[in-house]
Amino acid sequence: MEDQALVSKVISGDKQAIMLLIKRHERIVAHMIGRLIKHEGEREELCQDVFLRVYEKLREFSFQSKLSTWIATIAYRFAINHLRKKKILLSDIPEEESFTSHFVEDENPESIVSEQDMDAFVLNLIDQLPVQYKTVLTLYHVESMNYKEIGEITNMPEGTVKNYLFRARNLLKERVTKYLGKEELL
Amino acid sequence: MTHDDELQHRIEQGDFSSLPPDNIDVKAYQEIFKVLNTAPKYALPDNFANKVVARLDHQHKRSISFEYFWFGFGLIVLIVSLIVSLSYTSFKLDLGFMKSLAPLKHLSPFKGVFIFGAFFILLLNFLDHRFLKSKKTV
Repeated sequence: MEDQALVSKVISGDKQAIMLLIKRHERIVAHMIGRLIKHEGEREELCQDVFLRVYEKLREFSFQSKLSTWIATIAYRFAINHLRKKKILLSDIPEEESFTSHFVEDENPESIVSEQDMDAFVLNLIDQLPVQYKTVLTLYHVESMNYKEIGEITNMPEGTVKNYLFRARNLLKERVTKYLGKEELL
Repeated sequence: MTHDDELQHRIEQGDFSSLPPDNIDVKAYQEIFKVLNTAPKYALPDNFANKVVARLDHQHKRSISFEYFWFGFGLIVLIVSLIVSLSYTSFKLDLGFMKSLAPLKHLSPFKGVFIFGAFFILLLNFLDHRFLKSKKTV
C-alpha cells in the first residue's frame, strides 16, 4: 500500500492501517531511540510515545517529505526532549580541539575493559560521541539516508551533516588506531 | 579534501585496490565502517504495534469519559444557576402560563425562521457526528 493511501486509512481510524504504519516504521524509530537513549527501560515507552504523536499529527502531514523522514524527525525530537528532561548534558558540538584531545586520550576503565572485543569497543566509542554525531552516523549508515534527509530530520544544513559525519568517523579512527597501535606492540 | 576524508570516501565506495592493506588508518576505518553499518541491537517486541493501538484506544475512551464529565458538570451548573436565579428573583410558578406567553404570539409570522433554525442545528450536529467525531475513532 502506498504511503498516501495508508495515511488516509489511518486518519479514518482503520486499525489495520495503524498497525501497518507502525510495523513499517518501527525499525527506524527503534534505531534512533535505541542509539540516543541509554536507559533500556525507557526506550519502549518512548517509541510508543513517538507513534502516539505520529497518529495525533498525521492530519498535518502534507507529504512534502517522505513519511519515514517525517516519523524519524518526530523520533529525533522526542529523544532530544527526553534527554533535556532528564538533564542529560546536551551541549552543542564541543570545542573541536578540547573535545578531540579528551575523546582520543580518554582511558577510562570502562573503555579499557571493552577493548577486549573490537566491535564492542567501537560501539562503546560511538556511545561517547555527542548526540548530533550519533544521530548523523545512525541515519547515514544504518538507515542509508542522504545528507538532505538527515538535514531535514536534525534541522541542520547539508554541509554541517557532511562535516559531522566525516568528523565523527575521524574521531573514532583516532581512538581505534591508538588501540590497534597498542595491539601491534604486544 | 584531507587525507582522512579521501580514505573515508574510498572505503565507503569499496575502493580498496589503491589502499595499502597494512596501513593502520585503513584497518581502523574498515573496522569502524563495519560496526557503523550494523543495525543497533535494540529491537522492539513483536507485539509493539498492538501495545500502541491499545494505548490509542485507552486515550480515546478517556477522552470520551472526559467529555461526559464536562457534560454532566455543565448540566449541574445549569441546574444550580437556575435554582439560584429563581430564589433571587422570587419567581412563582403560575399555572396560567399561557397568558404570560401571550406576548410571544406576535412572533408567529416568523415561525419559518424558527423551523429553519431547528433544522440547521440538527444538520450541524449530524455533520459534526459524521465527519468530525468519526475521525477521532480508533
